[in-house]
This record gives sequence, C-alpha cells and structure tokens, in this order.
Amino acid sequence: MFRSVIIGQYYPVESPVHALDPRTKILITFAFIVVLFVANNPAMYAVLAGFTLCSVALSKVPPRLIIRGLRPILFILVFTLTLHLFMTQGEELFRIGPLVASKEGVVQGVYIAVRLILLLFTTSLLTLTTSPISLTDGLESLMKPFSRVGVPAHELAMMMTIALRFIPTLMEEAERVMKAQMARGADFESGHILQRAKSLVPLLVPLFVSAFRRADDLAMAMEARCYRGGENRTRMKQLHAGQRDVVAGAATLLVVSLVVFMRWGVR
Amino acid sequence: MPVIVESLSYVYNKNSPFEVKALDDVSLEIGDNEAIGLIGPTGSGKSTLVQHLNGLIRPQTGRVIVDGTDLSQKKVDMKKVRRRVGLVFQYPEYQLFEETVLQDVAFGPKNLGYSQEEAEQRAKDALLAVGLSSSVHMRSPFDLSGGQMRRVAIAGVLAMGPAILVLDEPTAGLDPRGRDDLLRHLSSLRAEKQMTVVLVSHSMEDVAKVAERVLVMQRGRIAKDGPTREVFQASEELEAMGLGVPAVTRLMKRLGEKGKPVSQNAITVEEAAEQIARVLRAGEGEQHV
Repeated sequence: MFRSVIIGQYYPVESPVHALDPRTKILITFAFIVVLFVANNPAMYAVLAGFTLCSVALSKVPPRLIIRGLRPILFILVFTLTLHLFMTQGEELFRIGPLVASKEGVVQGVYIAVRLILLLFTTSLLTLTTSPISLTDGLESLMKPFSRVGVPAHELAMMMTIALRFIPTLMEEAERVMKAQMARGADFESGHILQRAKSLVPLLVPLFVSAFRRADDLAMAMEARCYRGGENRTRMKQLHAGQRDVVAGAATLLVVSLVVFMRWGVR
Repeated sequence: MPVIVESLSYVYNKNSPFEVKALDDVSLEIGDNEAIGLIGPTGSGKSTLVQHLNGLIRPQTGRVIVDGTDLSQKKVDMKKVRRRVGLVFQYPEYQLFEETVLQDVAFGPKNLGYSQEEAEQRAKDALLAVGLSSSVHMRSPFDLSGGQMRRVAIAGVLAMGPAILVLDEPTAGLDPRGRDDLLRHLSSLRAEKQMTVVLVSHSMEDVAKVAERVLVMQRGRIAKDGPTREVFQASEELEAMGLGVPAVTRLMKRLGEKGKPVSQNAITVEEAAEQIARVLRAGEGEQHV
C-alpha cells in the first residue's frame, strides 16, 4: 500500500548524479522548477523533458521506480487535465451537456500535466539520489547566509533530517498496526468514503500515540548527548563542490538560458 | 480442524535489489489443542510464517490450509479465517486505540458482526480469561500498566473466539510476574477452551513452560520439529544456531558431567528442583546408613 510513495526515498547506487554535491543538486532542482513555469510552448517543454530524462539516465535509478511515483498524483493529473479541458475558452472540440471542451483547453491541460510530471520527476530524482543526511546538510549550508537575518538554518535543517529519518519508520509502524487491526477483523478496503475514513481511527490513534512517544524519547536522547543546536558545531563530512558540480551547473545554466531565450529572446 | 502448511516459500521485495528470502519450502501441520513453541534466530522467518497462518500474507508458492480452506485461492472469506486463527503481534499494546478498555476489546467481535451487547459480553469474558477484573472495563487503555495493556491487547484477539491462538513474543518487556501470569493464563486457556496455542519466543524458559512441541526455524526452513524435551536435548546444535536451551537444562547437563546421577531431560525449574532434591535426599540417606 505504501510502496508507491517514493518521495523521500533514497536509492543507493553509485552514479555521477549521486556523487554531486547536494547543494548543486538542490540549486539545479530549484532553477529547473522556476524555468518549468517559464516554459510555454512544446519546444521549451521538449528541452526541459530532455534535461530530466538525461539526468534520470545518468542517475542509474530505474525509470520504473520514478514512474511508479506518479501513482499518488494520478488523480490530481486527471483532475487538472479535465478542468483545463472544459474551463478554457476557445475553439469547440466537443461538448457534454453544458460543458464545452476546447482545443485550447487540451493544449493548456497537457502543458500543466507535463509540468506536474516533470516537477515530480526532478524532485523525486533529488531525493532518490541524495541521502537524507546530505540533503539536509546541503540545505543547511545553503540557508546559512540567511541566519544573519534571523532564519534558524540549523534548527530547520535538523527538523527536516528528523522528519525524513522517520518517514520509513512511521510507514513500517503503520503497516504493522494495520496488520494487527486486520488480524482483529478490521477492514480498510471496503465501504463508502465515510466508513473508510472511520475505519482509519484504529490505525491513526496508535500511530499518533507512538509518534509522540518516539518524539519524547528522541528529545531525551538528544539532550542526554548534550545537543544544544548548531553553535560551534563541526562536521565529520565537509561538503565539497568539485569539477563535476561545475559541469552540472554549466549544463543547467545552458538549459535555463536556452528556455529563457526561447521565451523572451526571439522577437 | 488442523492447519496444514505445504511447501510454503516467500520472498520479500521480489525482483528488486532488496530481495530477501524469508521462507524456503516450509511444510508442517498443526493439530487441535496442541501447544507449540516456535523458536529461531532473528530473521529466520518466524513472523513471516505466522502471518501466513491467518492470511495477512498470501502464499507466493505453496499452500496454507486452515480448516479445509485454502488461503492461496483468490476468493477466501478472510474474516472467517481470522476468527479461527487469532494472531497477537509483538508489542500488541501499541495497537490499542479506543477510549475504554471494554470498547477496545470489543472491536474485534464487532468487526465479526456481533451486536454491541454480544461483543461486550465476549469482551468481558476475554478480559476475565486474561485475569483482568471488571474494575478496568471503563478505564482508558492508555492509563494501564505495561503488563495490563499487553493483556488487554491479547484479550482483544481472544474476544474473537479463535480456535488457534498465535502469539509473537508475548512476554517481551514484561516483568517476571507479568510474564508468569501471562504464561499461566495461556496454559489454562488451552486447557479450558481446547485452544491450540502457538508461542513464538526467544525465551527458552517460556517455551519450556508452555509448549509440548517445538519447531525450530533457521534461514527460512524448519530445522527441527519434535517434542519439547527432545528438542532441548540437542543443546549444542541449538547453541550453534544462536539459540539456547533453558538455563536449568544447561545446569542439569553440567551436573551430569560432574557425575551426579540426575536425569538430564529436565526443562523447567520445578522438574530440575525435584531431580536435585531426589539426588540430595539419596545422598543424605547414604550418609546416615
């Protein structure tokens, strides 16, 4: 049941993408997302899709795994596609009752869908190729400059590390509680939506109870080891940006400027 | 009606880099009113095996037949199977969720379609069977002690009226008294309700106390299957697997090696005490003559 959620999962293999500095990967993903919203014609999307596909190929992550991650957002995809299909004004394609599907709507809907898919692909690629620890190290280091203006960079990064660290644990726990309740005849799969929501109570209550218990234990364990935030903390693993980061950055810059040029450069 | 497991194999995360073989061609039969101890090192497939018994895991290859129902078939009434085979997971107190103890224990019977009154009656009976008095009925399960919570959770499964009760590490984390109480209740349940009890445990003492037959699992296979006393005679073999035998069995063996005429097949403290007392008494007798 929880297999299809791949955001936050790490796929441990050795590849050029895995070896990149996490900061580089975060910045590239960020730049890519911004540019994704700049794109407004098929050529631009083709460039961006090409970039994504190249990264996936380089990362040695099985494409099957990334595609499977689309499953949870399938509903959103279909929903936005239909919404755009019928809500965009334009040349009539066909009509169902009062709903008019337009040609422009198809185009608009496909754009949005492609945008969502690429968004999910790149962000899951980021977490699939970067271990949670180095991801938060990277974030912390990127946020450091803002700590002057009061952004609690270290605390935010620590919170994220902990959250990411506990995703698999909580999922395992959820599966265990679910099985235990199924052994008591609980049924999570049938019934209408209200019954199903109600059937989640025996799952959610134990899950919350144990999450709070875990939080307490963790806080105590951190205190017992004299944790006091990020002041004067040094690292065992220093982040190093090297040659490959320069290459990856340059490639991204090229794609970004290409799309920006396609959008505003040609008059 | 017995439970029959036929050449059952199971692989986790099949066709992925994380593939793990958990069960490898396991066959066994569990008869009526048996008391079975299931032991084996961590990761030997015990939990996977017991989850097959009530259909929480569907067989990949091989068959599991409960009361004549083949669980590998597509259309199986799982509720019927789960009422026959009650499974108590490790640390079952983490599955409690209701506002009162009584409501929580009644959750299972209500899922089986019993009316509110019937479910509560079953819950009361089950709580009594695990030795909890009516004073806890209206309390929140989260206010109880660890041992009491554990017993409430076990009552939650008992209330469904299973013919076979499978418990995964039921005594883990309990204090000695809680442990003794629980084991005593298990034995009396088996005697009174003609239940079959399957006890998964790392504690050889617990197994010796409750089980009449012991299954030893290793790397997904059944390595040994026999009467408790016989299985515990093979102490070297069990120790090589990272298991062991009850401490008193080890003691009797050592006494035997020292030339004391004690019988070495004692597996519980009581039996051992009796043996040692007999030898001592005999020794005293000789001195007086």
